[in-house]
Amino acid sequence: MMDAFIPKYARLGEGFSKRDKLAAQEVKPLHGGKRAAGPAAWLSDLIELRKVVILCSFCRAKFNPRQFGYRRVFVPDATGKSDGYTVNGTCDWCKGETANLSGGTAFQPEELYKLSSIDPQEQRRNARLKAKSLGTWQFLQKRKYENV
Amino acid sequence: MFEAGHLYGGAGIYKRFPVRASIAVVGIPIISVTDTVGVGPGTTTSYADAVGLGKDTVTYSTTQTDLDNPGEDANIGAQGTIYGLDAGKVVTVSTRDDLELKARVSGSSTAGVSLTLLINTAASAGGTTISDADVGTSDMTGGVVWCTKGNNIGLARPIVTHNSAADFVTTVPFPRAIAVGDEFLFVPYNVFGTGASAIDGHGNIQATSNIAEADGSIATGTGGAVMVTQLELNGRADTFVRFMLADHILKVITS
Repeated sequence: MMDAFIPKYARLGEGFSKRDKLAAQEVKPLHGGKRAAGPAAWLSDLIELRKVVILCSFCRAKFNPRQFGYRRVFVPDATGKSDGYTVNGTCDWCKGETANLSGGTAFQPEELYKLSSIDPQEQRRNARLKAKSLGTWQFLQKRKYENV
Repeated sequence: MFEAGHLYGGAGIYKRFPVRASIAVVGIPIISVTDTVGVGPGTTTSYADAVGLGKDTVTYSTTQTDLDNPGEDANIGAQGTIYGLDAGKVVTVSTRDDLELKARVSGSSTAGVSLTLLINTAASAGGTTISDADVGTSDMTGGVVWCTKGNNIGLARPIVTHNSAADFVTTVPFPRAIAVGDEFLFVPYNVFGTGASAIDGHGNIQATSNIAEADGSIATGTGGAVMVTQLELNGRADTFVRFMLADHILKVITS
């Protein structure tokens, strides 16, 4: 039998204290504190001013909209080319054109969302309510046309 | 006003523009103006040289502000314009020229007012005349009237004749007789037209005083240049008009 001593940090996942492990799981703040016109400063300013934020598919993962009271912008797409949540522009983090970066997503502050964007869930809810409230005659007509 | 989609489908395109006036309301047409400072909000009667639909607000100022101040950091040259823009001086705009806007129709020049309700006062066996003094004096010829209570509920007809403060007359009759007490609503918009007198429900929408809704009480053919694409005819408080901005900077050359 041989004793083996594993020094701290020698191998990944071994030798770490509980504090080290918790620290590793900590969510890093989006804003790193640097405000010299870097991407974090620009983005934090947009959020502070409650402006729309546009992010490419790669930078989107760094942004938690709920943390800042934002939500994804939905624009209905009748052709089905996009899922409705795609908005292109210049990425507010990496400055890339989102059309070349697998498509972008726009985020709008919750309090402004309903003033200029359509809520797909509300649309669905209203459509279901309308369908439920149809009279017998209207329901039969609807069924008739749907079956044609 | 809302982004209701794009006529030719696909994703929206957002750009940021420098402003030459404060934009206090989200969801209004943003227009170019006759100076080189920036864009500004549309007016109740004009969306000429539109750049699109505004998605956020901004306070205009000509006071110099250092970039170190909160809300003034810059993202030099990265916003799809030739300018280096700082966050406090720009507005985000949904800028595709085939953007369909959707506006609630208000019953007056103030946003949030219900549409005028017509309660028919004289029976029309032929189904062509809706009588009520509440049809008003603003010319609605070229608009649309639809039934919300009575034998013809859910059916709409173009308004062909408007006898001031007396009645609306349609050419193609409603399928059933119009009885006294039947209820109707109307809007000064239509999905077709030439722009000529009495065929002018297609090309103009006047906004309410806050520019966020459509004023359904004014005469047809009044207001900013648009192309009406669809009418969502519902009740007094939830009727909408969908339209595109006719005079868009990506669409027409105006000078």
